[in-house]
Amino acid sequence: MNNFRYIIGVTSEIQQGLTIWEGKIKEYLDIYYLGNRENAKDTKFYRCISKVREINNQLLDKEEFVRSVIDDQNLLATISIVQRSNIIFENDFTPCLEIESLTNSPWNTINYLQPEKRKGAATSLIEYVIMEGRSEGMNITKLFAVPQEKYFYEKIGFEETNGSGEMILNRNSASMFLLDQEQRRESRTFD
Amino acid sequence: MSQSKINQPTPEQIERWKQIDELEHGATAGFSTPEQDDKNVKEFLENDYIETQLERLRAHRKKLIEKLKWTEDYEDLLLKENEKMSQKKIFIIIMQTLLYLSGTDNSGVKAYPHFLH
Repeated sequence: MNNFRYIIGVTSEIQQGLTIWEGKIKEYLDIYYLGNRENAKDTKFYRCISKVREINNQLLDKEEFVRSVIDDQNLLATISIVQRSNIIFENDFTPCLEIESLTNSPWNTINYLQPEKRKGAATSLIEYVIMEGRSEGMNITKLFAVPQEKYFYEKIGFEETNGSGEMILNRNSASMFLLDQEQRRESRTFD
Repeated sequence: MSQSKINQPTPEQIERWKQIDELEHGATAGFSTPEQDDKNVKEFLENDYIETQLERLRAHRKKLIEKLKWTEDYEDLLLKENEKMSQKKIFIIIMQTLLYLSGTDNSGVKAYPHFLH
C-alpha cells in the first residue's frame, strides 16, 4: 500500500505541484487528445481539468481549507477543498466536514499508464479528512459525486442522501473504513 | 525478540481493496454541471495558465500588503494607546504623591498615594 503525506493549507509544495499538474494537463491533451478538448470530453481526465481550474480559482482565497496528499516522489497526488458545514442527520442538526471539491492528479485520472501514477492517493486523502473531522468533533463527512464516481465512494462507505449526488459517510461507516485502511496497511499488500 | 504483526486479510477485503484501487484512479468530487465543466476546461485551455496565475498572485499580494498595512496601523494605534495609558498612570501616581506630600486631598482628608495602599 502506498503511503502519502497529508498537507493542510497551501505550501510551496502544493503551489509547485499544481503548476506541474497544469503543465502535464497540456502535455496529455496534446499527446493523447490531439490538443482538442472535445476529444477528452466525458473522460475522468476532462473532469480533473475542470476541478483543477476550479480549485486554482479558489486557492488563494481558501488557502486554509485546502487539503492534499503528497506521494513518495514528493509529487502532489490529490488535492481538495474542505469546509465545515452542517447536515440534518437522523433529525438532528449535525456538524460535518464537507469535501467541496476534490481531484486526483492528471496522471492518475488519465487512462494511459504514466510513471508518476500511484494508487491510493484519493482514498488516503479521504481517510485523513475523516480523521481531521473526527478530531474536531465532526463525525460525518459529506461530498457531492457525479454518477460515474458514486460507486467508488459507495465502496468506501458513503451513502447517497437524496438522489442529487450528495453523499454522506456516517460515524459507523467511517469507523469501518478507517479500520479497513489500518488493516490494509498492516497486511502489507503490494500495489 | 519482538516480531511486527502482519494482518492476514480476508478474500473479501482483498477483493474490496482491489475494487477501490480500480475505481479511485479517476476520483473527483464536488458539485458541477457538465456546462460548468466545459466552461472551466475552456478557460483553462484558452488562457495562459502561468500568466493567469501570476495575475491572481499579484492581486493577492496587493490584498495582503493592504492587510499588512492595516495590521501595522492598528498595531501602532494600540501601542500609542498603551503608551498614553502608561503616562496617565504615572501622572496619577505623581498627583497622588504630590497630594500626599502636601498633607491633604481636596476633601481635607489625609491622602495616601494609591501605590502605597
